[in-house]
Amino acid sequence: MAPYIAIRNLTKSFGKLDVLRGIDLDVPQGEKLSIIGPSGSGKSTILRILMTLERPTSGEIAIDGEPLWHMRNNGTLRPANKRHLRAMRAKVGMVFQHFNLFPHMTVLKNVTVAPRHVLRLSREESEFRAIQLLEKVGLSEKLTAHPAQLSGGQKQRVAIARALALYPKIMLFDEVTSALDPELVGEVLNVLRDLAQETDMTMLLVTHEMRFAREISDRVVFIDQGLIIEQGPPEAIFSEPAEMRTREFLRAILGEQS
Amino acid sequence: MSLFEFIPSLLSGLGVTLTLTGGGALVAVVLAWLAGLARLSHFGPLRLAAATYVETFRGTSALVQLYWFFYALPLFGIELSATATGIIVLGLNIGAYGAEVVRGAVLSIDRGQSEAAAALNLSNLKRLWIVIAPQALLRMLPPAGNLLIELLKSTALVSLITLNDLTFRGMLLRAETLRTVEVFGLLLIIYFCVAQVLTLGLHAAERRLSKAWHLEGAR
Repeated sequence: MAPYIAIRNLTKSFGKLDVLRGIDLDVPQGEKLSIIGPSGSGKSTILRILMTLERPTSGEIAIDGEPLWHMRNNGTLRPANKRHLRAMRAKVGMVFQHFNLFPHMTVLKNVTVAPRHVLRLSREESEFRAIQLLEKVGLSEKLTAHPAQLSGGQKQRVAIARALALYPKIMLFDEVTSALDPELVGEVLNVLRDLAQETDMTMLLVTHEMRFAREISDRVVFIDQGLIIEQGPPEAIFSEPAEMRTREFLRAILGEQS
Repeated sequence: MSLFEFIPSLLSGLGVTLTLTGGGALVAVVLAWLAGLARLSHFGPLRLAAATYVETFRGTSALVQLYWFFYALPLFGIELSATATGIIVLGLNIGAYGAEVVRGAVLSIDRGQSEAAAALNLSNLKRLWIVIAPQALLRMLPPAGNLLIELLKSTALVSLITLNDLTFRGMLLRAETLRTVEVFGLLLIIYFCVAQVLTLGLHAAERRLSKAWHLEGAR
């Protein structure tokens, strides 16, 4: 079966800094994939390019056979225009490290704004769906609260509901627990765990929560200095990593987390 | 003649002053948003047009602008009433400063906000109007208050293009009564009181928004 997400020789440079130096990655539909690696290794950049927030320097990405940053034109590929990017974006949702909730909107409005304005659903329908999603993340009692009244964990759960409200095929989670106080990490991970188990969405997680990655992932990719160093089932990566750099990274980070 | 007898005449002048302040503010708000957003556009000619407007009106004397619109424009066949001239010129003037306020406020909104809006697939226009503009509005209120007071004070210039504003009435009264100290003293007090009311009004609006959004440090 053709991979749902196909990334070929993806590179990204910010000026002289080469953040991604040739990433090849196939993700089958429904896979729960964790991307781990040291800070600055380029893991978040992969997600940001998939969300079309960052333009790749070179390489090709296809989602469901459709090029993401390019358009087919008489058999040749040319750079995607705005309309193509918007159409492709509809398949992808993203949750950010710093939540990025809209502070001037209530929780309910945060979750209904995209269904209303992008999917053009009626108010009733978008609210009905939003309430279901907020129930799922355990926040149906906070509909009229503003983000400033919520804890970090609650904010992140609203952000997850907000992204889900567009029913994306692919969800990207960019270090979604890194900005949280330690005691609030669990409630967000619980939501992610349920999502991973209950849905057939393709999920890509950039995370430093190694135990969690091991528990929910179908596959783990270790990235360092813009390259995929090693990948495989979580058991293999965490128990017997083949590469020296993977071992060093895991020793350092697990030493911290135990 | 007691000081109280000055009041009716000054109040009728105050009406003209407030009309010009209100009308000018309306023109200024529209122009400030248009020019401020145009300066952030990806489209070069639009940026250039906005920058030209802003620099032209910031870089020349408001009084000369008034004279030009009132005395020179009719020579090109465009005749405006003195009131319309005052509202348009003062609006253009304050709008030029306001454009910088709008631009600064929009730029001050965290990039994560527009990224989140993009990730939700909102169009560029909706990102701006639904997500960025309301947050920018709150940050604009304090500098907008300063500009509003600038506008109020600069309305005194229209006494020089035949309008019977507060300052003009004061000049008349002084000529009639020769009580220079009292008349001009009263003018200062009236301008000051109006400025205070405007300041309080804008502070209230700011507090109200902060409170509605439950932002920390709602002042």
